[in-house]
Amino acid sequence: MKLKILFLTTSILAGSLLGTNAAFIDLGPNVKVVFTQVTVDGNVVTQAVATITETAIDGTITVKKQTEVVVPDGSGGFVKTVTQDETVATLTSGTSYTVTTSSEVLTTPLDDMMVEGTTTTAATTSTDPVVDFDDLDLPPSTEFYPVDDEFVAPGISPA
Amino acid sequence: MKTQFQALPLVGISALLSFSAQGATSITYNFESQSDGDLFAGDVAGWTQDQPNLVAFGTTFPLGYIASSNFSGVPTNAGHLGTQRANTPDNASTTLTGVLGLSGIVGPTDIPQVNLNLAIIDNPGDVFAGRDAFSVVVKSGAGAVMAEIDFTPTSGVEQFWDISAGISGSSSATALKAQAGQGYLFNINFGASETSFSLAGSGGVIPNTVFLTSAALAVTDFGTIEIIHNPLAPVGTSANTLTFDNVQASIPEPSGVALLLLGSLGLLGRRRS
Repeated sequence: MKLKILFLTTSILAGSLLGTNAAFIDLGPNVKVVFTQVTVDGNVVTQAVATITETAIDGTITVKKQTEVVVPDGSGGFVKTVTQDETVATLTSGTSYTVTTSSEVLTTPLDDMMVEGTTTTAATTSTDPVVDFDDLDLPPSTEFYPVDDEFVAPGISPA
Repeated sequence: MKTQFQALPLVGISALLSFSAQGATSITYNFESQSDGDLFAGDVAGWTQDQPNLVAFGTTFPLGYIASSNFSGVPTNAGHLGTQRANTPDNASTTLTGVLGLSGIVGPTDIPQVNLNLAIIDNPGDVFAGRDAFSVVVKSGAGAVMAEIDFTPTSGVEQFWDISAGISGSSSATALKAQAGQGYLFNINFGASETSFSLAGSGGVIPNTVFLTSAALAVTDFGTIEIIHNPLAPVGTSANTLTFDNVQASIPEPSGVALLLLGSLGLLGRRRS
């Protein structure tokens, strides 16, 4: 994505963030969290990613992506990092969009019993006023639609 | 001759009584005492799961769990295993093991059976286009593989899985395919002369039909049944699940016809005397 204008704000917040994660994406039955292995600081750890995409009637595309990873801190404890990215692509003309990307990184220390300490938050925001649809580079959705649980009779008879 | 003739049905009746006692020996898992969302990792009596469930964002995402399914017209609880709700981050297989624990099987007269409802759930319209393999394995008390049924995604044909089956760790391909969203009743009969694999429609529409026969096994007990998810798709790219219900291992009671026949022989012997 080619940046034309960049507004960058960073803030550090401290305090309890209970409920913040759940509010960002509703992890109901229609959102599948994808688990993969990633290497962070030399540690192979599990990364969880959930992404949802909504397209409004006016063509505005909103993508929310939430990532969580827990990494050993090197002294017997762990650090949990939750990243919440929101991208809003507003259709301005033709196939041109103005894209605003907001990101919050929530960092929480965990002791050896996985008891959480105080969470700190770092937030950034950037805007790109002219982005063509083909260059939006939006993350793939992990939305999921469960099928009907009523099974039908087999359609292929035994030979 | 008279004594011998009368002795035969007596021996037969004695054996049938023994059979009848064993006929009550069966174990069934229909999961109706469970609650929707119960986990095979700790919540389902008689079952264990070899992989930990995944936890993220303060929520547990299970690999094996209880949820509603409808095999025969009425929604009931059923077991689910696969990637519909979670996946192993390293694409490791997941095995759910259910204890059968039936012993005292007497061959070759007993014909013990294992049967269960199976269905594969996969939505071709979602973004998770990958497909995985599943297996059902029956093991002896000593842990030896007795019989298995395997489901492998049919190459190039979405929504279908090839079915193979076999005994003693050897699986043979069959001409059958299972289609996602369709309910089946699979049966494994451990007969005196052969081991037979058959299937029917779970709603009774398709009658039970044998699709593979193998050599007979000297079955003395049933130890466990394993439901296995084997990821084939790249990690995180599938959302398919094997649903299973009414898992039953049993030693059938002798037929009423056999009882009647032996009883008639006894009466005939007395009349002749």
